[in-house]
Amino acid sequence: MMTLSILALLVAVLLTVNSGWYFIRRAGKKARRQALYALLAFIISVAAAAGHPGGGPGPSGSLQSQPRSQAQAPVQAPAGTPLSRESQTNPSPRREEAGKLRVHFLDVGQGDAILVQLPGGQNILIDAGTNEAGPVVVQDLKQYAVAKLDYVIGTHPHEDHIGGLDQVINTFPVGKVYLPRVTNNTASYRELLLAIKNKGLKVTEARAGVSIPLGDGVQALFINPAKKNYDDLNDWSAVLRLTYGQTSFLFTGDAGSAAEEEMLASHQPLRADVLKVAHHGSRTATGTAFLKAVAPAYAVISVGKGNDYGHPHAQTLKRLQQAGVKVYRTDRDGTITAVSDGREVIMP
Amino acid sequence: MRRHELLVIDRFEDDMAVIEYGQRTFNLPRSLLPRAAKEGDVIKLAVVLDPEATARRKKEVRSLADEVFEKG
Repeated sequence: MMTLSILALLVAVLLTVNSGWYFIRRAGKKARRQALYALLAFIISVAAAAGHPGGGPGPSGSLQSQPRSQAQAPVQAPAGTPLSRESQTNPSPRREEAGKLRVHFLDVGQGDAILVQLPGGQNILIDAGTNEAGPVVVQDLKQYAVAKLDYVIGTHPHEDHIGGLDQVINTFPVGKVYLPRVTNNTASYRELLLAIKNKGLKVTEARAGVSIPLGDGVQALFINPAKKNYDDLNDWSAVLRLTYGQTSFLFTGDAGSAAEEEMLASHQPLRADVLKVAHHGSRTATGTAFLKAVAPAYAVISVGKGNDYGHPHAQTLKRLQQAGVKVYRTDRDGTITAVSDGREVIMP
Repeated sequence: MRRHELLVIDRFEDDMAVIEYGQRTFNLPRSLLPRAAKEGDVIKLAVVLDPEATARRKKEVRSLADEVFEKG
């Protein structure tokens, strides 16, 4: 026991000095890890010196520290948003303490990809842009220190939403996958199903009334699709309403007017502080009645610069403006991050 | 790009059809597609050269150019 404690103390001192030197040079990842090791070694040495029953605090201490270091990673990481896209002004470099929910509307050109990081460290990905944007999404998720995607949602089987999802699924460990029960004949959709199958995953159907068991004081409920059939794949969009404390978000995919009517008729709560505007701000979504029910303070439009489809449509922008909503756009603002502490939502 | 990639209508965006071809997509004006075309339909493209229309257009443009250019 004595030999062990001396040895551990020696290691602790050595590592502390070493990591201290690293901290002076730069507070890099390596230094943080070394500091953690030093702390661990110190704890072990103290425990050993105190003469606790052999093996007690040591291993349990090390077991506890490791997940904690992982939980801290995603909290610190968002400070380093993708470098090429820092056109938007981030709020002051506040200390990113725990207890915050972060929603990153990733700039993927024409398409959707949204990363939700829960206060407890879980990650939800809603869509992953086009095939072409797949590598960008993978890169972004790494930047936000995503080690695992606990929940992956493909809102509907259009290429600008699910195109990059197979690449994401092939890259990261995935918990559960949610898709609406409708298919498309594209290679993109087939590749998504194959990626899911090859990983041994099963798809959970996304439909109105299905909730995602999140914990952390976060609730997530699908409020669309409600019907068994729609003419347009857009109206099949899995629409998710997420609440954290008194704050709420509505992610609408590409849901069009038919889906909006269904959602309004269902009398589910629609209100949200932040609305992800459906279908890249197209003319045929975000109707006046729907907008009134959601009553958002902020809206985010995920849209590509100079796209061929006239998104966002002037009429939709006008409706948002008349409703007094502050609009953010990925084509102008780049990736947009909303932060909620459960009481209010802070936008860039 | 493999030759046997299917051309699939991924979606419609207003008057544009978004066609998936392998790893990429491209737009076709909806007016070029049969009326019955819908999302998920596999299409075949047959591109045919039109020598007569080419000759007519060429003649038209040349005579217009003759009018517009300074006589040298």
